[in-house]
Amino acid sequence: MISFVEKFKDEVGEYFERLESGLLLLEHDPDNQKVIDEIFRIMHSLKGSGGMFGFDLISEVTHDLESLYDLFRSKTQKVDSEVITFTLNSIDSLKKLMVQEPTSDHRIMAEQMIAETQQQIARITNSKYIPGSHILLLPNSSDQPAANQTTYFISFVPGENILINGTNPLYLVDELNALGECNIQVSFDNLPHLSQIDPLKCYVSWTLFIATVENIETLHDVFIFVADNAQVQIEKVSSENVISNENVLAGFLNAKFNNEHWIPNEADVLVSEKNGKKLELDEKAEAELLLKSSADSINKTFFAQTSVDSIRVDSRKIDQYMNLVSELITTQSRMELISSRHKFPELEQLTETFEKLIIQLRDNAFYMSLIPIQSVSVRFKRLIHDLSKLLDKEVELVTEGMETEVDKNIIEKLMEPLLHIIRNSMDHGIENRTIRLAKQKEPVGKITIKALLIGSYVQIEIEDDGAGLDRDRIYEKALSSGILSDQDKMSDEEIYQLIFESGFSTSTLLTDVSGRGVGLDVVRKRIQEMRGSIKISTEKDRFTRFTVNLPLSLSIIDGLLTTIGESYFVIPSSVIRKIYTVKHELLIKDFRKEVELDGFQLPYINLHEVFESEKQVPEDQFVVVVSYGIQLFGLVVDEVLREYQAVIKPLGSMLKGQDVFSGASILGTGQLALVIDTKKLIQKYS
Amino acid sequence: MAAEIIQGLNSYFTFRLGTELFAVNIGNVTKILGLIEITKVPNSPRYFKGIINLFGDVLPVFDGRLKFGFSETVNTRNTCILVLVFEMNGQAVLSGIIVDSIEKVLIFEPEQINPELTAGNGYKSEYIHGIATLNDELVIFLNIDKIFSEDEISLKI
Repeated sequence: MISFVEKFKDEVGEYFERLESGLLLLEHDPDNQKVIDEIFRIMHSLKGSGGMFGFDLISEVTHDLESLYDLFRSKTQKVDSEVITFTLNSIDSLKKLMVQEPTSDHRIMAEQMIAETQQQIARITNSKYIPGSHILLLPNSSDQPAANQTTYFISFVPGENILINGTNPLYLVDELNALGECNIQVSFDNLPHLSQIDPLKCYVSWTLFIATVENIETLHDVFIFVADNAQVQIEKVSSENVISNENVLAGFLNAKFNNEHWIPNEADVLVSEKNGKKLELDEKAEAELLLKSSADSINKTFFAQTSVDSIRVDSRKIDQYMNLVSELITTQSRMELISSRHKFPELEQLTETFEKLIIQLRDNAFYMSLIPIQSVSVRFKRLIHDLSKLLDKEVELVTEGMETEVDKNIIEKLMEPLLHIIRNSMDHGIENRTIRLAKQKEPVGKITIKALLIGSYVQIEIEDDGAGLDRDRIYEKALSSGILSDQDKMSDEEIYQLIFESGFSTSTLLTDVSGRGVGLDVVRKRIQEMRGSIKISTEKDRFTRFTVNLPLSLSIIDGLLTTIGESYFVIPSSVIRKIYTVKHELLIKDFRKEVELDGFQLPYINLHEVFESEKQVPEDQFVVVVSYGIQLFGLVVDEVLREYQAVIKPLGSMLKGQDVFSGASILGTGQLALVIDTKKLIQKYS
Repeated sequence: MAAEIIQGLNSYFTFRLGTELFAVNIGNVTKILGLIEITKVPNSPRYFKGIINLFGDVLPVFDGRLKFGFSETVNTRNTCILVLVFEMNGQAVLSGIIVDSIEKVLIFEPEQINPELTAGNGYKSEYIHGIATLNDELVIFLNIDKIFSEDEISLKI
């Protein structure tokens, strides 16, 4: 049961996200019926499953929200911006109500929400003078003469698991039966042998003809809550009641299974021409459109399963998979070793094929753990939407390259810093409408978020077309707060970077939005923790642009594989400037621990010594010159082997007490190489 | 790596360090590995032998004899690495310990284990959960969670 609740919570998180993105879409396109349907459906699912899993408050609150959206779904009323904002706020509150054992505070909140929702319903309905807000108004009311009945063909194939969700497909068939005259066939084609029947699964499907006065949408609505879990096809057979005319029905089915288009007979055409009503024509056009669009899919997959584009996998399973793949690589290199020893041509060939496949498998596993930035972009949109209301600034969000894929862990850690930058841009960057007009800028501000891949790095730019940074004010502030002394000579570029220093805020008044104690210094720290960097560039009254650079994955770095004594060590390539060879004697003579290279005195650490290796020091050693802040430092190793892409494994909690080694990497031979954190190493040993 | 501590079993895994016989609850044992090459971590304490690659994860390995104050382990045909899982700061943690030989899995009822006899052997008494006799020999029951709880390895400066 617990795991079901967890799954439900996961699912609800996704529901909320879909609701948010749907609502933001509606803001620009309030008449988008598809989106409204989706919102309605999610509300309904929340209501149902919330109650089932014991989240009663969720269920109660969404009940009224569902009624509200029913008004829009039935096209009785139109969505306006107040409703959107109201619903967005409700979603935030719903998130707080995701508790199984509510306190009295939760109850009060829920009651308030219900009251507010009812107010919204009242506001919307009263303004149009339609009493009785819960009545579903249908475009085709039932008092039309029976002669206007239309015959539809419906194929309803419930998904195998439909019963598990608590849906009884029979009710749906009953509901159809209530809508008009039906000719129902049950298909047991998929029924397995008795011994193989799983009583929790649904094996039957229905095909039926229905003659009804309702339109095709109403029929679709019957299946609205099972749309994800069943295949439903509804097609128009004839514009009159032909339910008792076996010939027509048989003709239709024949055409259907022979993959031909069903053309209603001449009598139908006559009928519709006679009626000559616009409504009828619209409906006909709609039905034809439906026929056309479904024609392709019918050809191939009339009774086939719907194809699934993506599946949800526990991220721990992916981690496990990655581990297995790296173990496979290790095993493979052992096999290669054996194969090269024995020189069997057949074995060698096999080993080679194996290697190729495993490399593909590794890349595949690696890309599996990447997710597109798109998946979190709704949070950017939401923030901008909320802030533009709060700050009374109109802002348009432009995104580019949201399909760029980044390691899941990075995206999670990146969110907070990015949202903070956006908050900053909204608060300090973008001006309000009057100021913008005075500056002869577009009245609506613009924030651009761009993501692109550069080598093994991903670059994310956040640019606003606002006021830009005020160089002089930053400079003065830096002087007064003691970050700078007036002797310091700095380029404009360097001055701008000062806003990342801690204790720096030029805003004279703290607003509710930014300045909540988290400054840009924290943003920079977070990004540096992920081995990334952040830069700012700006032009007064034109733009401010934050550029964030991050490694694609937290767990893979480019490094240099070296040996010290008998062990392997990896030095990250990002800090390496140059590599020299040097005679060991030269290092022994020098007691100041400095070595002259290219005419410069370079301080160094001989790792062979500090790591207390027992092995003989080789005659020729290597100096790997790394940057240490603004200085350069030499790390002397015994041998430089090659460039190496290191998959970093954590050393585990037992080795937390040290920070010189940031992890270990498994070499092709199965041996381990320690990854050196050069900064910490130099701090410790120099 | 996913590892689980299984609790409530009366089976104990016995092994030798030097001539002494030790026992840990079978729920704390996940694997037994033959002796393989161990990657040294520079400047770590002597009883910490280094790290090994355990199916794609890094496993720290200790010298059991040094850890309990005996002389350093001399590798023999019977030397092996016992992979233990125990709780540390609320998390399941894996660690390897080098032992001289693996003995049997034996069942001891709780009343067979005498918690009074812990003193006098020179061990920290909190490391020991109790003692039992088996064919005139003492079996020392280890309290795995306690033994490793203080063992965050730090490097010499």
